Amino acid sequence: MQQPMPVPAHRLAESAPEIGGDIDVLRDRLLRHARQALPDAATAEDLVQDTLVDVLEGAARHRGEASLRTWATAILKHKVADWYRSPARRHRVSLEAEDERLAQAVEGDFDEAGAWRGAIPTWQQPEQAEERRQMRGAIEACLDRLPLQTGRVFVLREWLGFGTDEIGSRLGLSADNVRQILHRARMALRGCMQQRWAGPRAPS
Amino acid sequence: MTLMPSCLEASRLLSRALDEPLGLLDQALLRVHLSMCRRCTEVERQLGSLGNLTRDVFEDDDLDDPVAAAASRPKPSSPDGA
Repeated sequence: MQQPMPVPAHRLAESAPEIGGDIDVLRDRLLRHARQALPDAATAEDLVQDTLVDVLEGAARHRGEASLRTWATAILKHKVADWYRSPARRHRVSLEAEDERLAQAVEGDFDEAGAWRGAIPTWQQPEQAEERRQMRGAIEACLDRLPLQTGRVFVLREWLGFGTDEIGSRLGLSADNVRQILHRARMALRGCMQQRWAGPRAPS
Repeated sequence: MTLMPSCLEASRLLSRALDEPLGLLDQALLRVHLSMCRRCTEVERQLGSLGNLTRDVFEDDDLDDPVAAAASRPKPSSPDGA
């Protein structure tokens, strides 16, 4: 196994002085995204490494239309999509016990007749930057709490924009399976956001 | 009225409609249910915003600039099924 060459922080600092020492912050941010989208940590590390090399090589040409972080994230997104679309690879997922527990939790939201057990408080729309930051913090925490496989399927759908059929064919799942996983993911995220965002702020 | 979907079934249709076009019968059943169910109407709004929030997290939009944030937020390819 060939070790990937780490991107030296000082080289990035030279060609992209505006991020300079923030390379570690950027790497951590990209790794967080990559791990949520990919099946294993080693692949996530590889693609983030490739992304940082591209950022390093392109940084001199990159001038401000988007923040460097936004730009780096877009590069990573393409690499993740390419990785999934590579015909040489198969990426089967198996639904683990935790995903099954999530299914039971979701069914617990409904009574025997399939009606909502509890009230559905309205989510307050964030007005100020600080409120938007808080709401984003809430969704990040809720995404982190999703079971791994469920989270990956949701991220493939919402970040990479893969459709139901494409997710199914890339992961070896039936379309009905994918629909079920996306439904559970959304129900779990909704319930989590109700606790972390709507609940404490609901008027009654 | 056995055809009428429950809230659980409506939530499955709401989720599915975010990913692919619903058939005409499913669309009609969902619309009728939503017209009579405030909870599911609110859930429809919430499920839609989950996608936007998630993309915000991943696309790293600038939180201090809502105009730039809105402009750089791509909709994933999703046929209008709702």
